[in-house]
Amino acid sequence: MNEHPTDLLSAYYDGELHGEQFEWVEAHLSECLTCQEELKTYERLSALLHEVPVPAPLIPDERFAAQVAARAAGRKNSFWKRLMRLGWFILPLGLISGWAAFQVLLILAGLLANGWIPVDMGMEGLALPGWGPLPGLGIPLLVDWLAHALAWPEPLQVSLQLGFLDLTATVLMISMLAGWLALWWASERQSQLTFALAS
Amino acid sequence: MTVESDEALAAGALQGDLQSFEALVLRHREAVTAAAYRMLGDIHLAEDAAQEGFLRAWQRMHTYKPQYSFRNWVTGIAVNYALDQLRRRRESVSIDELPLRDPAASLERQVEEGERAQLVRQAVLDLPPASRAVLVLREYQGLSYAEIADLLDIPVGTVMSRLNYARSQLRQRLAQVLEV
Repeated sequence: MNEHPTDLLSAYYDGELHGEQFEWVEAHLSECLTCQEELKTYERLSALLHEVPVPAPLIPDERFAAQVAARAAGRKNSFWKRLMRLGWFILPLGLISGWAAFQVLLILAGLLANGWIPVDMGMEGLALPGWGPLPGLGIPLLVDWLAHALAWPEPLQVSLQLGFLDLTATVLMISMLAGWLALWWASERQSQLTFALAS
Repeated sequence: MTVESDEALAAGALQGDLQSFEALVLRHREAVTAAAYRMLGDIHLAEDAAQEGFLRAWQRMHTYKPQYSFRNWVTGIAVNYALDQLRRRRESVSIDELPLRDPAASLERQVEEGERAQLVRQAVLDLPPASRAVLVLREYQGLSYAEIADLLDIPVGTVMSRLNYARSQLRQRLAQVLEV
C-alpha cells in the first residue's frame, strides 16, 4: 500500500482536489480502508459541528439594521471620499511624475546648452529653429557666482546650474515623499487606534 | 411586491443608497452574526463584530466583486474583524481570560444545549484563531478555498493547511464523541 494521502484528504472531502492529486487520492481510497474510515470521520465531524446552536440575537433585526444605517451615515461613503482616497495615492505618483518631467526638461536644457541640439545662438538667447527665443538659463544662484569668479566656460556654468537645480528638485521631492509617508503611517495608526477604542 | 436581488441592492449601496444597504443588512444579519459567534464564542461580541463587518462593507462597497455573494463577502469582512480582535486581545491578555463561554447564555440554555454541543463549541474556540477563521468560513458558510483565500488574503495552500490542521485538532479533541 502507498503512503496515506493524509494531508490531502481534507481537501478531497471538500471537493477541492483536482487533476493528478484527485486521481491519486481516488485510487488510494478505493483500496485503503483506513483512509475510507478517515473520510467518514470528516463527515461525522462536519455533522457534529453543525449540532452547535447559535444563540438568538440580542438585538432585534430592525434595530440592528437601523443601528448599522445610523453608523454608516456617519461614515463617509461618498464620491468625495473615494476621490480623496484616490487623491491620497495619486499624490506620490504626481510628485514622482513631476520630478521625472523636470528631469526631462533639465536633460533637454543641458543638451541645448552644450550645443548637442542645433539651435540659433542669437543675441536674444537660445532659439530652436522655428520656435523663437527661449528664456535664458541664467538663474542667480551660488553656482553662478562661483562660475564667474572662477571663469568657467559657459557650457560648464550652465551644466552646473542645471545640476544644482536637479539636486534641489530631487531633495525637495524626497522630502515631500517622506512627509507623505509619515502622514500615511500616522493616519493608518490613527484608524487602528480608533477601531481598537471602538471595540 | 418584488424582492430585489442582492446584486441590485449592492449596486444601489455602491451608489450611496443607504436604504439598499439597510435591506442587505436585514437580509444577511443572521448569517454574519452566526459566523462571528463561531469565531468569538460570545453573542455580544459577535453582534458588535457583525455591525463592524457591515460598516466596513459599506465603506468598501467599491471593492465588492459581484462574482462573490454579498453574504460571503460581508461574512469574510466580519470574520477578519473578529480575527483582528482575537489577535489584539491575545497580545494584551492571557488566553485563559478570553470569553470563550458565552456569558449571555443562561444556565438553563447551557443544559439544553447539552454537554456534547458545549464540548464541540469549546473545541472550536480552542483552535488558533487563524485556523478557526478558515474552518468557520468553510464548514458553516460553505465558501470555496479560493473564496476563503481571497477574503482572508492568504494563499489557497494556506487555506488547505489551516483547514487540515483545524480538522485534525478537532478529531483529536472530539475523538470520543466522534466514535459514538
